[in-house]
Amino acid sequence: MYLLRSIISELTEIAPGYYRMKLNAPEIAAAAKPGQFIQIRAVSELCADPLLARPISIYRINREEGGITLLFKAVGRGTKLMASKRAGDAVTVWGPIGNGFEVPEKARNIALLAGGIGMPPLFCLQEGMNLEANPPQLTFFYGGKTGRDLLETELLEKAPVRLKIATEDGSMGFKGFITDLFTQEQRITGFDYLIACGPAPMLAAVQKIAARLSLPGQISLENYMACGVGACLGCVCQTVQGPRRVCVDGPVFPIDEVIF
Amino acid sequence: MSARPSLEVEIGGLKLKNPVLPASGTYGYGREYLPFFSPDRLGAIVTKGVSLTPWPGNRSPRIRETTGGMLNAIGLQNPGVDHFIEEALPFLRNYQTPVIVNIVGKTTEEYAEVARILNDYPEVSGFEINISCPNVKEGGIAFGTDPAMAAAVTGAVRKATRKPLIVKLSPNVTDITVIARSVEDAGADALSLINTLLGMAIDIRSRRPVLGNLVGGLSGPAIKPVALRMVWQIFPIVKIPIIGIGGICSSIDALEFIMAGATALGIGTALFKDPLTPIKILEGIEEFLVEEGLTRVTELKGVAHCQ
Repeated sequence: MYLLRSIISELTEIAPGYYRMKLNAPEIAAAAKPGQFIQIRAVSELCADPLLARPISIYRINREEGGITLLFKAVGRGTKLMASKRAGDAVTVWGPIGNGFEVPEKARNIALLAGGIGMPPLFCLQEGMNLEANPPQLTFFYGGKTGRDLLETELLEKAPVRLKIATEDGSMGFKGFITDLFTQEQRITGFDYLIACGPAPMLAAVQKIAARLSLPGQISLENYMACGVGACLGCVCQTVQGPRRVCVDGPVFPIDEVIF
Repeated sequence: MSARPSLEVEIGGLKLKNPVLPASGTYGYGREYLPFFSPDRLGAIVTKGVSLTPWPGNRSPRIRETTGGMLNAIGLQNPGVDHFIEEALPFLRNYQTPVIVNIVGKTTEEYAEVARILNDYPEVSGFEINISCPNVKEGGIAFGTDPAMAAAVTGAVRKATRKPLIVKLSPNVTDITVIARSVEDAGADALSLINTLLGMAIDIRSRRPVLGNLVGGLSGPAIKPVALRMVWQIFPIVKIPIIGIGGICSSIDALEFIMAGATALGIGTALFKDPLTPIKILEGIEEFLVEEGLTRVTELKGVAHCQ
């Protein structure tokens, strides 16, 4: 884990309320793996408000440039402050944090299920896996409320994945929940592994489907966090193994362990 | 060149190389902040609360940021004293800095039993008993709001150990001076002032309290003036040293607490905003002493009370 003042090399509003931020953070880029996140604080350490850092998933890792990219939605004070920064400004970051994804080698036909702003870590995962020799077949399910909530789809279209889009209002792709689209595809494709990231109700639904199909896999959780290093126990979730810290024991858990 | 000023302080016979301690519950059992600084930089380690048996803690959500602070209702989740001995003590043994174990319990006997069990371990230098957690129904704050119960639990732990005994008090009382005198009389060697202030937040979309526990403890810079006032208020009426805790984020905050009467300082929520806070505070205190031409940090203790 590294704590650094990091310079923003790019900050773009890619859709209303959604931002892409590139950070110059060579130590973090060198150590990071898909599924991990960083803590970011966009105010000076002399400033006590907003107090806490924000946990944000790593979207892309560029080791050559020593950079990482984040995608985030400006929802509260912390993320709105992040959005108000400009290229060249410094922010405080520490990371990489968390366990990240560990995909077993025998998984050859993998379904990635991204719900809303749960997309970035799964994008990072497909990018990482496709750099490996003999990558497995990847199908990227990407769902949101509307087409406006789906980000950087042009990048996903170019990526070596089968892209399947679902929106609740039908404004883009399949009309309905991503889990419905997945169930439909599963009958045809017969996935052997499932990895999901998104809001808790979606993950709970994914867990039920995986149990019904006896499909192994992983889910990545998000939760409010304070310390982001495993000390405060603020982000703890309940699992069949007992309470676990989302920040350092997760954020990735076996699909059948989390109790929703 | 004059020598560097001395930051040494003493708490209940325990000599600390400096007055900067982590506040219980924000620093785990010491492992989590290793990437940022060595525990040996601290005057002592103050552990997360340890109970006789494992406690599961409260339901989620457990935290919420507020203006200049945060609410928490963790519920003293901890794996119990046996696990602490097996997992945490072997790690803490690697460091020279004294270890103060924070104890929580549901009954007077439970507090005393944890102290009795840990008393035989030489790497445990002292105890801090938490009679002030606002987030658990039994124990915790029930002991901290009643002077007779506060004295009873202090007395019971006092009988179980001769090691330095610190009692951490709650600000959620009508008159904190009554509780402070009561635990001093019952044998406490020092006081930690203060634990969190009871508060809450409501989610306007769901129209319900945010925290799973409905209410929680407010910490962070928002509570500093309250904590400072309580240290100021207690200092003249007790003989035992005070560990000032509550929103300390900078060496200026730390020096204010020392001038109000604190011997040492607990750094809690500020660790979350900047993990290097304790180190920056240490450096800032030392720099201030040099600027003011002082040789010992103890020269500043309680000076704000002088006419």
